[in-house]
Amino acid sequence: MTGTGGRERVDLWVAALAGPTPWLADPVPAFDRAIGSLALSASVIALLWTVQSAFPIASTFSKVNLVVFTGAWLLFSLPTVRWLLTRPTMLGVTFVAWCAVRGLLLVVALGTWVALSGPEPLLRGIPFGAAIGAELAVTVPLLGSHWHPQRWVRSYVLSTGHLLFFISVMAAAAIAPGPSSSAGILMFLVLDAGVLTAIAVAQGCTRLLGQAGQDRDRLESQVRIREFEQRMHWMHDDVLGLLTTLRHQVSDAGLSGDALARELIDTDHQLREIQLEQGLATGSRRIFHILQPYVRRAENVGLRLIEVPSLDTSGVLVDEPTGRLLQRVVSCSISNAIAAGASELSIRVGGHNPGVIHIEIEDDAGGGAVLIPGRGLSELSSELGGALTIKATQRGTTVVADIELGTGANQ
Amino acid sequence: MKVLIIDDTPAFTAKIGDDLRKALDVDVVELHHLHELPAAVAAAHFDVAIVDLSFPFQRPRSGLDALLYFHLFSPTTNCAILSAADEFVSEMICDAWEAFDLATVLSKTRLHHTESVAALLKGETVQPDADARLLLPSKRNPARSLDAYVRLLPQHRGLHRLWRALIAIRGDVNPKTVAQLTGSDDQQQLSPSAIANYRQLVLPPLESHGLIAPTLIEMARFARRVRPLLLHAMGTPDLLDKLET
Repeated sequence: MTGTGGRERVDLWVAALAGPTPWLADPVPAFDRAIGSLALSASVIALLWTVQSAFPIASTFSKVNLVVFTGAWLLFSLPTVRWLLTRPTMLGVTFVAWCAVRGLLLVVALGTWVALSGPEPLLRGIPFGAAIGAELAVTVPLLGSHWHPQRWVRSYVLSTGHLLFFISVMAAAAIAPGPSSSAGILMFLVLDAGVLTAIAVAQGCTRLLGQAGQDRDRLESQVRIREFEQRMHWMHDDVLGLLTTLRHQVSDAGLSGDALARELIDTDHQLREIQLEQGLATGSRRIFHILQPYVRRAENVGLRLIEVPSLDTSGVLVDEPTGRLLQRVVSCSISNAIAAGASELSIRVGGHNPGVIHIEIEDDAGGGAVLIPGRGLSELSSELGGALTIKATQRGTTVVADIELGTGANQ
Repeated sequence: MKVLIIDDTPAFTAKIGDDLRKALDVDVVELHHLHELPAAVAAAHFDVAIVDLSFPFQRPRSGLDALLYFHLFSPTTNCAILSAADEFVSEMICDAWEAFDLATVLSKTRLHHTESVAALLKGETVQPDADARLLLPSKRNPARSLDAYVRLLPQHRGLHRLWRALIAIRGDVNPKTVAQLTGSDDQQQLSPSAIANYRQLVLPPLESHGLIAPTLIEMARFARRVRPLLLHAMGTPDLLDKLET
């Protein structure tokens, strides 16, 4: 079983109780959590009520137990909920264990309360209905079904089964009045109370959940639109700035065809760097996204790419800080190689150690030896210490860097 | 020698076509619409075909349709991909590379492709351009070959309906909306729970395609991307007739 598959199964189990939104969304809407708790609690109450009705175990409960178990449940729940909310990806065994312990404490606490409260028989249908209604309201939409609980009152009241049950009970009471027929009537009323409560709760929860979902979607959509507009604005500013610079260069310097082509290659590269910048700003990028602008620039200025990593290694996803550090290593190394007049370039990426990206950039002109103090490779070398080395080869140099995933944040 | 270029940007095909005619003295046919391909293939045999992958205004079709058409009706044509090799086609390049026995991948960011095409015409091996090489696996995975797509359709005919619905669906993707697209005049819709069950059946073969326990939304995205390959696996390949607008 894969990690993701395992998580999905956990999700299904949690969804069966209260739906994943109350526990797994990030951030968790307070309303969703409340509805989830209601559904979970109501399910447990109904279960306990049934058990308590079937087995006279009330004598084993006391008010002291009630206080102890409720307190334990609260103490266990609150800090854990806070902890989970700050770590939305912490699922799996830890999450199941938390659910199990919390659920057990809740069951015992509520069981004690139910046992001590001694409910009337007719009212037993109501918590059942509330539990089932809340449960269905939360779980059914998660299974992809769009339902309409308000239509169920008519469907239920006029259903063949309900009408037959009603006629049977009434007929029994008319023909043979006595304790048995009274029990039948009571059963009928308990059933009706339960079902009608379930429909009412389901309808209420569905309406509230729908409203909350719409509010959330609207808010998320507004945030997304604002971010998009801002990014587009910056990007257009950058592009327009580049075009203006290019126009000035062409008109002021009277560039030749070759020079203009070189300027266009540079502009093309800068646009791709802007594109990469936008991509990195989303939080993560694959290694090939980071390498591509520099590989293209190298090819466009006439270098022959002898070796580049395949998707096996270039498909690795890296976080933003690591990506930016990798980008600096690649950018400086390839710029130096071009400046040194290299004609061939090899880029190798591999993972000698887990969690570390090992990259080698080899040229045939000694680009790695071109060090300007406080700038480019020199600056990177002093920042990364032993993680970046420059080796002389027979024909040029190889820049070797080991970048730990996530450590770029410190650079 | 005949070369076919199919790309939806006329200026681009004209530039490459002119370069090839001048440098190699070959007969170059330029196409801009995928539905023009059957007639062109019927009229002549092409030694090399250069196929763009992205045809945004001819959706749901893509360059994969053209590559499949060559595979079925002109298998001796040496096919090469011509692509911007950017983020939006990176997965499709990989799909095409692993599904078909392609000669190479040419990057649109390079100005000239004459040398590569000349080598292809001689039957020589041509390494994909460097920015495209970054997107290709070191070895082709047999589980992603064209024939292996039948693994996504195990046993149940209902799976054909599921994949067709996933290819067709737009907007909200969930078991109910997918189920609504599985009916026809003579067939009742599948139920949402049947959709969920069929999804479970294809989870293992989808892992070969890098989809680990995908959602229906991810499955729909995949289905649209590899649509020609799925339709071929179902025995109903798109024969590139002109689409009604």
